[in-house]
Amino acid sequence: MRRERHTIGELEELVLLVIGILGDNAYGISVKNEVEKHTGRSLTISAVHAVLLRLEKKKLVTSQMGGGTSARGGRRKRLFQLTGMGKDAISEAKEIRLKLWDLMPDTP
Amino acid sequence: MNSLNNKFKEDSLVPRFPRKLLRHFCNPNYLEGIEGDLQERYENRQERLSPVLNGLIYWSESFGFMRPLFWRDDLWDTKVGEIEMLKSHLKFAFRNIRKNLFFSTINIVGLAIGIAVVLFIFFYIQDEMGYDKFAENHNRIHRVVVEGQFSGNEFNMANVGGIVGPTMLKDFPEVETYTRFDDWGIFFVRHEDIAFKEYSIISADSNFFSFLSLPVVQGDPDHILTIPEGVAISETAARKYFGDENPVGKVLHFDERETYTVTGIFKDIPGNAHFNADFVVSHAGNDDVDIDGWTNCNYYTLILLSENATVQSLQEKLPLLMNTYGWPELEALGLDVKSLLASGVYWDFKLQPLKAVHFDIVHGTGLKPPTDIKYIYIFAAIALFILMIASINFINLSTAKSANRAKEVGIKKVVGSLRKDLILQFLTESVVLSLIALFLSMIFVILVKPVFFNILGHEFPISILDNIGLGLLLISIVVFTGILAGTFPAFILSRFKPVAVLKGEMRHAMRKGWMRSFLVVFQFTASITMIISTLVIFNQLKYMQNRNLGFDKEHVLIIDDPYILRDQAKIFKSELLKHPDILNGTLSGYLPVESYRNETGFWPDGDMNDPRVRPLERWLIDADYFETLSIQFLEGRNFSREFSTDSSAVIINKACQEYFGWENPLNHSIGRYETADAMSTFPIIGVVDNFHFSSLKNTIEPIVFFLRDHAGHLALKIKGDLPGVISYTEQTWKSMAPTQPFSYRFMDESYNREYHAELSMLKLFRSFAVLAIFIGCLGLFGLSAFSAEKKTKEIGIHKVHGASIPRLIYYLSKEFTMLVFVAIVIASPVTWLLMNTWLQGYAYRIDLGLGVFLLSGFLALAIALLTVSYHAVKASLLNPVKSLRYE
Repeated sequence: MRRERHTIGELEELVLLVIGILGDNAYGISVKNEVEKHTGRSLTISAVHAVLLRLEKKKLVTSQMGGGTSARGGRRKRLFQLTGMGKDAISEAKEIRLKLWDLMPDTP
Repeated sequence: MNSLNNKFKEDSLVPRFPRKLLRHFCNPNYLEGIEGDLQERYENRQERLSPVLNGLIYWSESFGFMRPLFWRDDLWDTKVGEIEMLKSHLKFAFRNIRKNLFFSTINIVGLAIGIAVVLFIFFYIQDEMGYDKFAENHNRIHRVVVEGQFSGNEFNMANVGGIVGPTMLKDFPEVETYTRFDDWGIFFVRHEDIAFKEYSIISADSNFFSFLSLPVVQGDPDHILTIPEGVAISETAARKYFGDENPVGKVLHFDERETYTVTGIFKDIPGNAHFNADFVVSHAGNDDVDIDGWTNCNYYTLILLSENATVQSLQEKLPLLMNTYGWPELEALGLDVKSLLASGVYWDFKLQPLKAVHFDIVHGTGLKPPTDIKYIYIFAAIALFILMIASINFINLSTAKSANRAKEVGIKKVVGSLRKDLILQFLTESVVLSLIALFLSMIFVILVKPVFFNILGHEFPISILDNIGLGLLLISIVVFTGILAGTFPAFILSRFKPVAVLKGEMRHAMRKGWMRSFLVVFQFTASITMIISTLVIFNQLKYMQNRNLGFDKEHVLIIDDPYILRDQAKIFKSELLKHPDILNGTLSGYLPVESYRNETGFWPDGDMNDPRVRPLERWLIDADYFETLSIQFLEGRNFSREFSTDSSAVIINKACQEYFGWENPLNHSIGRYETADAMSTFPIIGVVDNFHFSSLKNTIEPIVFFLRDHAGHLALKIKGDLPGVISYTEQTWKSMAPTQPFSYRFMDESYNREYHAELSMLKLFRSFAVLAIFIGCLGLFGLSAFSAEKKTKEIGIHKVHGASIPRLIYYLSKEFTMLVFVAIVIASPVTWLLMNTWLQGYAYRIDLGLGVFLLSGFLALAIALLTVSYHAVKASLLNPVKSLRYE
């Protein structure tokens, strides 16, 4: 399988960043809450899971099953972490943004 | 997948269905995390939300995961597989339709016509049943009608005395409010120099518009009918007389005799109201309305039932009206009420719900003609009939055609087709065909709409949007038909062993045509019934048009409304008689065709207590009346200018003489209350033969003729050059009344117009008959094609042995003609019964003879033979060698 450079959408970028922030506790609900907290936008839980699934397919994140709690009836959480490619993707996006901001004239 | 069920403790009552759904669809790798998240959120919400709301949110969140992205891989594959299979079925369906374009077209067209017919009938019935529903409280509105009997004659009227409404309001708490209106008649209406003859003029109480929820477009709704000598006009009338100007305050002249001030404009009365009105004159200032007597019939009275009242409780109280007020009023006039009542006279007020008003054919009304509800039932039955015929046709043809598919099925099975898929294949084809038919039927409806309205005589809106329910019902019927049609071949064919099928052995089983025969018989029975009915209606109509009526309606020119000439009317008549082609003329409003009628009570010999008193026709004529119309005298003499006393004498017709049972009528007289308390008697000087002056449905009623000036119409007996006469008449009119519109008609035309209801019925039945036959023939055409094709080999052999073409035709059509015979035998007695019942409604009617039945049978047979022989001939012309080689 050849290595592809995937472009990431805005939501995907946000989610990737949030996964970085959340560290060991990045799963569906926590990602949703974190994104909503910082952006003020509301997402449905299924939308968040869809993004996570797509990111995993693009190999920008990995996941593994983690701690189950009684609140979940004992079900475990699927915890997500950035891959190397994932980190590259968001830092690249950041660089492009900064570059463009620099190029803007200073006129208010 | 279901391992999860056992793994976790039975957690709080999360809705089970969405969870089951998710577990079925979702990829097991993701399931735990997703289900866990859903669970966690549910539990977090539990504190602050009710379980119901929480559950709903859980449902919603779960359904968010119902997308292909989360699906299990194997599900994905089967779903995709199923979609592909369906696409393939559709592809084959269309391909098959193309391959058998002939059959397919016949099939589709037949079904489409059937559906279109059903649609029309449905919309018609819907329109008829929806009359007067625009009134806001239509469920609580009732009309007061009266049913009475005077000396053995019943009469039922839809209007009652003006005093009834207000008395009911005063005395009965069940009546919340009432309104009255009256048909005012026909007038010449003029504003400045725009004048027209108007037919839709009524007078009404001040609350008329609000009572019936009729919107007022201009003017104050509360006061639009409160001004004496005021008239409200419709939008159409406003445009006609005033263009764009504001008509309020302007003056309208009625017959040059009365003037009314326009008080406002109302929106045109809806087409589905039981009355028409372009002008509504106010009752305000007219004292006669409220004192209009108990036994008069002048005002249509509608009452609004109070909210908690029942109809029965009000109905029970109605007899109080006559007992408390009505009979005493008549006694005060000198009538011996006791003996009248003893002889069986009664005058009962009845309540009639608004929704029944449009269908009321019992109570006489001067408003729009009602619809006999029997026709609604008849049409519904016809709709069902035709739909059945079309559907059966469809099933028939599909089944027949599918016998050819045996080989295809065999090969498919050999290659490994699942039975399920074969069945699905046939079903898909049928359903596709029927859906195309549905689509085509809609196009038919749109195209035929104007013709349909033309036959019916009036329009109504046809809209799919109002009838989503109907749309869904239709789709399900059509799909059901399609499924039904596809089922038989689908199941039978898919059952057979491939080898047998390929060898052609199963052909014999499909040959079993008993079902097909039954269906053909059914179709033709329906068609023949239609044909016979059409012929009978046609004959009755012809009879009514040609029967000797007792007067001569040919070559009679009627000039309308010479009363507008006032005292010039007689001069007008004498001027016209100077024309050589105008032979005779009579000034009278009372003609045997549609014109004036007047009933009033008559007492034989002026005897106040004679129980034979009853309302009789009272006609006002001049001395030339009977001669102009060629009415024969049986006894006595005509009115004559030589006898000055003739103005107080009368002539009666034979029916009148028979009613009173007089052997020597010239020795008798007839009495009438010319004023409220004095009876005048009139000696009888002549008796004329009966003539028909109303529909042939009715027996001839008694008439009493008076010699009076009445210029309602001028009837002229003419000969020869029609246009010349008409232009002379018009010129004369114009010279005497230049501003009044000149209007004329011919008596025979007027007479024929009386029967437009029957004419409509004839047209409709004719159309239905044609349709039924067409669909039946379509089916027969298809079936015989199939039959001829199957018998190709046999025909070939027959030909080789020297059979002639007619013989072959006979051979091929034997099967079908026998069926048509059976259909004739079944249809005839049934139709005889139906037509006999219909004819009973006509006092003067034809005899239902054998001729009609023979003719119809012959017609049906001829058509069937023609249809079948097309294929027979074609088949018999084939080269026998080719036929024998046909596989």
